[in-house]
Amino acid sequence: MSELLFNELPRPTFRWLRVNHTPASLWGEAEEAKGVIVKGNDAIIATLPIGTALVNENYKGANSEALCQLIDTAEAYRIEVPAQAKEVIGIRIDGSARIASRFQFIIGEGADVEVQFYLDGESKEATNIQYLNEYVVNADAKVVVKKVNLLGSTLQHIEHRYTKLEERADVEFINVEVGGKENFLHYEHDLQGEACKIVHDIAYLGNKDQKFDISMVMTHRGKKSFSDIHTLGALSDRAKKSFRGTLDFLRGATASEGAEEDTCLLLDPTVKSISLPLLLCKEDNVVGNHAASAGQIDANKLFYLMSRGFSEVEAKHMIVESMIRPIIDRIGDEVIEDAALTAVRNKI
Amino acid sequence: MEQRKKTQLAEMDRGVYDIKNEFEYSYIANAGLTEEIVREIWANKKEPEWMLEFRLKSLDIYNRMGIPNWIPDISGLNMENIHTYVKPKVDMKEDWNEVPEDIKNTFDRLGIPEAEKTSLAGVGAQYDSEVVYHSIQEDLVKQGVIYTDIETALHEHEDIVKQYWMTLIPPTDHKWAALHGAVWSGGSFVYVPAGVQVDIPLQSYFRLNAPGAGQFEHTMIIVEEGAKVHFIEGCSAPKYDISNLHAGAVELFVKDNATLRYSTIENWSKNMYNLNTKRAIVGKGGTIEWVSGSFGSRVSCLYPMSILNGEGAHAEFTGVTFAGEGQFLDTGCKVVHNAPYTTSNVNSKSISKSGGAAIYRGLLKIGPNAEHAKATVSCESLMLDEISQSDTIPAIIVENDNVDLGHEAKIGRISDEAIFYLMTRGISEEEARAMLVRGFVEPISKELPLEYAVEMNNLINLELEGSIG
Repeated sequence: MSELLFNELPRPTFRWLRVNHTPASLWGEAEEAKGVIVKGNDAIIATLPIGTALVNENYKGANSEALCQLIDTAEAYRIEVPAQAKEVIGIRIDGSARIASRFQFIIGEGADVEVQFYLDGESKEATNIQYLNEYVVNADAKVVVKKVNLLGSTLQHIEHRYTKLEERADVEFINVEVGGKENFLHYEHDLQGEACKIVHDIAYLGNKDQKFDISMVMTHRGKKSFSDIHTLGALSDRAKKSFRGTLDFLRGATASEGAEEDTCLLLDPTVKSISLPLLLCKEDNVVGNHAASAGQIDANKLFYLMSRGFSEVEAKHMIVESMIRPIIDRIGDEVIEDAALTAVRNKI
Repeated sequence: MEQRKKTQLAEMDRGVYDIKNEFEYSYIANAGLTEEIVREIWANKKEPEWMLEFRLKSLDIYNRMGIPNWIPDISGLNMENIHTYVKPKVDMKEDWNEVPEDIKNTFDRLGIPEAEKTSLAGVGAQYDSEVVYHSIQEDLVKQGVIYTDIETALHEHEDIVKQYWMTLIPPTDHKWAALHGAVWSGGSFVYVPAGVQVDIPLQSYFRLNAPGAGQFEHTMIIVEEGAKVHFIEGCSAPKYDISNLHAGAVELFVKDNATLRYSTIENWSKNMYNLNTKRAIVGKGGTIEWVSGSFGSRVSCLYPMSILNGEGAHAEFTGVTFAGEGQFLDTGCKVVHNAPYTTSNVNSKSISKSGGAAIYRGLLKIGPNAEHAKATVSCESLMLDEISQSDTIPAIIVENDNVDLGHEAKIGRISDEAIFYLMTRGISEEEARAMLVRGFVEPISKELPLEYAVEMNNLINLELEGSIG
């Protein structure tokens, strides 16, 4: 496939900066893809016919051409959680071969759902792990999605995620992104219902030539809706991170609040960090904040730890780990947390 | 009950800014943009041959370049209707008494001759496409300071002008830079020799009186090593029913350990398309300070850029944008750190009301060589009603690890509690809102020269008049 434009900025800016999108090609051949295991209550898990329309037909994903191709070929699941039910769903993605998958979650009113995504494995040849998540979170439902990416360094990892939140829906997304060589993450969250709430935290750690290209759009339509984006991570060697975050307050989203924060720790002079935290506002009665920061490890923290007998390298390890660990600790599965921590320690 | 006054834009009286003179000229180029027009402008101004070559090359670039996809809608601007050159009926004078009465009165009403007497070291006044008045204090001339119109500089200091001409803003930069290169006219030239401190500001005022005309003034300021100067720029035009265009270029060269403060209040009428470009390059230990107020125009695209090329160079940007009905003001600033120990502070405020759109668009780039760079950006937006728009579109690019960077932005409205508190103290709702807006922009207005701060407060009062109820 020819070069595609990934994660296009909803409102482009100066062209010469070349940050309005990221050009890339899809890796690997388009052979049949398998390697996904979905665990949970069988009664609520069904297959979804290939080519089923999107929950939001206007959703373009990280790249619309790649998404269309995915919809037409992906092995797809529909997970429909009844109203008031409580469920835990586990999804394991094995990156030893190409993956093209789709997961559509319909969460009934007042339901309480936890979804765990665990991605690991490595293929011999460079290939592509691509999947689409769609969440329809009905009124008063609560959803927590925890994702740990420990994919191998031969893989291109593309995630498209769309979420629709109805009245008082409460959604929490936690990402721990450590693996994959080229990661395109596209998240579009549609806050339609009154008083709905979404928090999306992403921790990443990049080294060598790893790329993390993250796009997140929070569209506030409902009154009193609340969103919070928090990305934090560290880069070393020649790793590169692009964060395109957009808080979009549409007319009618009265008394809504949104915040986004992007924090990046830079560990080598050859890293590159790009941050585009957009605030778009057509409603006066809202509070929107964004913050971005980038820098080295705090010299005072380093000095303190070294004065306690740690070497400089040990002290740096501790500081990076302590930054990412609070997010890893929220995964709640001891085995997965240990695997994530081991991966983090190996990379620092 | 007393009936509240609700001002509509169409009927808004902008006072002295809207007073039109009879449209008189000694020469006017045909509307549109052709090679013939470019040659006519060049011939009319008796410029050197290399400038014709430059103008024609720029025209070629303009014809080949597309309009950027990210700028606001400018479909109301038709170059076929724009007169790119309107020569007023007078040549440049050094005595206000020699300037024709109606033009002198215009600048009198804008307070320029009065300010010259009390608080300025030099004044330039441009009317349509040409500078009609220029002066500079004698003691500055003795110190080697040059402050003149750009045409005179092109003839008397051709080597300097040629050396720097559009090197910071090349015509290939964007379509309006190319247009400027092709049809530029008027503007100021400032040269401050090494070590000279110009303690009192210089001021150029640009007035566009002609309907359907374009103003393409070129400002070039060179501040040599260890020198210091404060330059003030004012712009205004009366309102017409047809579109006007402003595509000026400001090139600032701040050498090692030099300091330049560049203050602007842009108060164009609301039929103006303001597609202006400003850029500064700063040497070792030098400082560029931008103070910018954007009030007028239908559409503005204005992002003053600071290129910090010398070790320890510093940039400061303080800006306010006020967008009212029918206005789309896309403004902001760009800072590029290219050397170690460079620092920058950006403080931007915007206000939108009555359906106006205020956009902050910025760039903060820290290159691979800018070790120990420090940068802070703060953007605050205030929306005064539910039909307006306020967007913040920053880009932050970091290419080395040894930096300290912070960026903050927030959007909100005037707090009901603050209005209630002021009203309990006997202040009307309208005045309470105006007080809070003035307080919001106070960090900017205190950086402006007094008469400009007063002008800005008057503009805010004018914009807010009748906005309650």
